[in-house]
Amino acid sequence: MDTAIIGEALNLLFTFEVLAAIAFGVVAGIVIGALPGLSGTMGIALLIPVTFGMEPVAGLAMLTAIYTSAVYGGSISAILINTPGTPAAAATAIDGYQMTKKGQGGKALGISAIGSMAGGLASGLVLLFVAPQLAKVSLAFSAAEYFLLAVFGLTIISSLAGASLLKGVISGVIGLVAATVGIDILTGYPRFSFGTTALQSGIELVPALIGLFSLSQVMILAEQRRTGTSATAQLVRGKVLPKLRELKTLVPTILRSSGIGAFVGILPGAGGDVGSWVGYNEAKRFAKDKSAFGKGEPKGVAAPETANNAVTGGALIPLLTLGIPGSSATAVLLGGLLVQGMQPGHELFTDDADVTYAVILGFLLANILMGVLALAGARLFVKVTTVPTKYLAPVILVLCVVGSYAINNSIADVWVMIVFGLLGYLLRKTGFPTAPVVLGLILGSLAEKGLRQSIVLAQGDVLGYYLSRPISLVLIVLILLALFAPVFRRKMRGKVTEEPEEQKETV
Amino acid sequence: MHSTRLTRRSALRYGAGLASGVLGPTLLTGCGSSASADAFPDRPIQVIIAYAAGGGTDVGARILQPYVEAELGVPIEVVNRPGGGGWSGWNEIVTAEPTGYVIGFINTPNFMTGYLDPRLGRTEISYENFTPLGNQVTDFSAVAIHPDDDRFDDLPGVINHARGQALTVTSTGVGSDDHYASLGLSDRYGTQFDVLHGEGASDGITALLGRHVDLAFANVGELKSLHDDGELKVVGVMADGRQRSPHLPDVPTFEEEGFGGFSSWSSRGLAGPANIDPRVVDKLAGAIKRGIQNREHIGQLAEQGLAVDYRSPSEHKKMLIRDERTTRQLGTKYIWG
Amino acid sequence: MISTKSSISKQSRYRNADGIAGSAIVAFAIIMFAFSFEFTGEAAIWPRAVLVLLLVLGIVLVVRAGRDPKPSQRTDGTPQHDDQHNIDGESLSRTVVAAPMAVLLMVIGYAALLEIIGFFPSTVAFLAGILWYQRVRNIVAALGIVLVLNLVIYYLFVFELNVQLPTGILFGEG
Repeated sequence: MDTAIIGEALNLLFTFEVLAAIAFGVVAGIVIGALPGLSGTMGIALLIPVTFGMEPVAGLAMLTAIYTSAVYGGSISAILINTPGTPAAAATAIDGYQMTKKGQGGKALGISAIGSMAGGLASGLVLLFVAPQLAKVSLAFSAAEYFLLAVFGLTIISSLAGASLLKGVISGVIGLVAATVGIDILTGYPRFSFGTTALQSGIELVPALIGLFSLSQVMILAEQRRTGTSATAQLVRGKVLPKLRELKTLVPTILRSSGIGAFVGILPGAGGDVGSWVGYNEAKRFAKDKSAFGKGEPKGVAAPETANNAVTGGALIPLLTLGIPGSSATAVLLGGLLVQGMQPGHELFTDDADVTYAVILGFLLANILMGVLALAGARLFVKVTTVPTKYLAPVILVLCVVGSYAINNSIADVWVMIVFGLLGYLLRKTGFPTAPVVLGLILGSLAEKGLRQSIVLAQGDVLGYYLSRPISLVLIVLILLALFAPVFRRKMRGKVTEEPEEQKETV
Repeated sequence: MHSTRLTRRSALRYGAGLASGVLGPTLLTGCGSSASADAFPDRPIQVIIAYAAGGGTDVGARILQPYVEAELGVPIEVVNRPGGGGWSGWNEIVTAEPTGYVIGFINTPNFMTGYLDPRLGRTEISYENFTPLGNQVTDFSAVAIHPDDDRFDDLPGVINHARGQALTVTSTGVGSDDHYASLGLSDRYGTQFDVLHGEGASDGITALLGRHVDLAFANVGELKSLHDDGELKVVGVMADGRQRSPHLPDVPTFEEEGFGGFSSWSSRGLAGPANIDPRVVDKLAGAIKRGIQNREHIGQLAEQGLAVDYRSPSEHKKMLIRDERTTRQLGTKYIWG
Repeated sequence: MISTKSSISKQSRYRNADGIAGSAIVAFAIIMFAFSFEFTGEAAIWPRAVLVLLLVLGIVLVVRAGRDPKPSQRTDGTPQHDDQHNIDGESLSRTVVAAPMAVLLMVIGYAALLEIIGFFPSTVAFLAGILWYQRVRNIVAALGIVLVLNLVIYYLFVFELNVQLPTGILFGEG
């Protein structure tokens, strides 16, 4: 990378068309992300045709702007109405919605905007400076490492379990069962498809998520029809900009999540959803007062929101350098690149370097613009929640249906959404958390595929294969730590609770 | 620019008809009556893509869209129906009214696997449920190795090695062209491959780049840029005969290397349901032919490493028959038999 | 925070619900396991392992609900007053469930109508139904929601995002 190319890139970037495209992408991304059921992936996929007629820099900068802004936008509905707009915002809903209930919805939005901007910028800088080197790290990951990574992700369930560890694990296993639906990729056998074509490709994540979170939420809100009170009516508008002092306490969390997000993003297949859960889990693990999580802890908003935006830049690294998408959204972005006749690979950093760097710089710009618009417009978003439930619920329901349908133009996905809506409602009414279901659904197929592929690759000696791979060894150690940490912690706490000093620690 | 506007405008027109509740066209449709065949086409044509927006087939279809629109004089709506290994979309083509207003892209040989594999429950379907309208792209399979692999560096070396000791190879899924390519090679030349099925070409290519597998079986279009950059080395293309791929002029074909008699490709072409009025077929096929053979279209696909391979409806049908025969033979022997 | 009295009554309800939920999970695992018998070769191994795990966990839940005097609770003393669970863990009595189930039925009817009469007519019908059910008697507001939502969806999905919404027999062209 030399300064001449950066100069050329800046010339390409600062044109009216490109800047307008970025601004449009940011606004569209936030709106798409905020609407339950519309994911950034879908927005990018459906807007690719719009970029056909645009200049490469404008088209690609718009798509990357949508990508990163939709990830932020997903947090808005997660925080305000407990319905994650995108899968990556599911972790944000936990503490974000609790903050809203405490009347701190504005502050949660502000923290989310600042975290998203910081994560996006950090990952954009990583993308700019360390792209080729970091891409090599991801190549060292093979089936064995993916299996272990998925198992590592599944241990997060224990930290999300809330009141009952057993119920949390059961929820996770229900997700694992759901993940086995569809054609088995190693034998071609259609499992649990019950003779339907729609189920042969497995359960679509987004409709399942809409059902689990959005539909079940509306059903729970409907219970108040008799009493007439509504959850949204109790809302108090809070300040959007957090105080400097509060912001300072979040700095370590934001930095940690930026790193986690960028790293997870580089790993092929692990998108913003995985990144945000890992970010949340780590923030909780490092926190002094873990019990605050789940009850409106600002760190519980900052961690996943920073991480899932940091994923975006990370996921662009293998995409641009090797043509290997790091997440589902970047898989679609690959289509956007090809439409412009740009083949990923070294060409992008040599022959097309001016365009590539213009797009990367545009991505950085989009993140700044997103942060500014999100902070300035947060008050508008808060107003959304003051709409009474009786008006909001019908709108959410229609969006649930049309959003589920629009992903694949498939009515079958609407039925998936409805089934998961009922499942989510029943689980929540009997005290089971719903987040582990999503985690099991995402990581289950990754784990099975990784395990079985690694058995093929091992060509006989499976244990030796796992133990002979350095990254695999590191991951095994991490999993063991994650599994036994709660046990150690419990033992430690068992001693501590003898003397009731614990509560004094939390000032 | 024009493609954007046409897409938008077609959506607008179609939608406006819906919103204002225009009932007219419904009454006119029936089973390809002569009157409607003469008038064809008088309304938008739906082109069903059995894969998601942004995928290879989708991108190719959207590049072709404006050229065929210009020929037909009516808007074309590209409709993505992903799912069920492509069969969410292909079912829709099979069950559509044979008016010519609903057509779509079919992708071989994945398409054949979907109805030949008895476990998938579509054995009542065959290529005869479709009316071929012309092939757009043929992308030959190829074998790539890691450039640092010191065990072999050309195709004979690879095959000799695989005859003695099993090599791990990639595939884009059970019953994909890459899977049949490795099965066919083993069937004919006695090689041993442990097949690692992934979910897309990038899965397999990553595995080769990271040296987790010995060989990658993928298509020319997927390997071209990495081969040109020296990240991996393509050792042979499974083309018919000795004609090299224009995108990989330095790579010999299998036949050149002495392993002839076997070729493998994935192709995509347009098809409608069976029993479309022959006059409608002629109109569609003519427009599709001129669209595909348009120089600009060929150039835009070439930028993606894809070779336009136009085949007329009758040749397209022959190609489907040949693909079905290979698929049935290898599939019955190795996958579901 | 929670008064002792309500927490006791909640506990017994919890336990009852746990027993039912556990039994449902056990039944589900057994039924799915039966379906896995037709799977060929190694395609069956992973799903069966997962189902056995679910079966075991379901049995543990049932046993615990029947034996434990206290509801399932984490032993590390994490307080149960996790707000989400507090709301969500309430009983499934008929009066509580009636309204959510009515909403669900309306959504099911909406989905069923989509492909028959098309997206926009069924959306109007659904919105009319659910707004009436939610006791919205303000005709202007109701009409506003129906009109604006249809226009927004039309603009966003059909016009901007190019999604072909179901047309149904009324407006279908093919």
